[in-house]
Amino acid sequence: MFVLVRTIRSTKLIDIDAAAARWATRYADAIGANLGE
Amino acid sequence: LQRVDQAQSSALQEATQGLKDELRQETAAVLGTRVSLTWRSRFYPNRGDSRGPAGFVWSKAPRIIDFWSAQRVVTPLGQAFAIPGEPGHQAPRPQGDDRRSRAAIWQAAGRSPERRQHRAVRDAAALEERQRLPRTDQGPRARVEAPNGC
Repeated sequence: MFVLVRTIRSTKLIDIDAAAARWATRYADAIGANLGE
Repeated sequence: LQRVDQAQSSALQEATQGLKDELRQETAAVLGTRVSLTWRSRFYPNRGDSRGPAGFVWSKAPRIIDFWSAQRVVTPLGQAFAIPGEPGHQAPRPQGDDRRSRAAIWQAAGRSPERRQHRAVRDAAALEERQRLPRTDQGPRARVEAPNGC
């Protein structure tokens, strides 16, 4: 048995942008740390 | 300058791998391990005439990830989405002592075993009718298999 629906509201459960932003910051920090060694 | 390149390269490699792992974890929590393993990454180190190191992270299931990575209204390409509902059409499964009497299970579930019987009788009649008709080789399959120019 199936229910037919016209639209579905999706939910934001995976935040790609936030993860990318976090790792961009860590990348910058890691360069600094590597150069400081 | 080589030291800077090296520092940049190893930092980016770490970040690429880290981002992929984090996205995999996040996806596994929502959609399970199999979808989470669609995350891929590629790291291009800074070697030779390369302009600089580069890291890419992407998913092999972009449409699934896309659905769960934003809050928006999704409309179907066709007329509607078909959402699987309650398995109401399925026969109740026999359990314990009921295993012996299938009719009793059907009655307990509020269905009449006669309905099933009627359907079976109808199917048998349809089969009989089909067998009675003369067989032809002019069906769609025969036409498809005919060589070109026929």
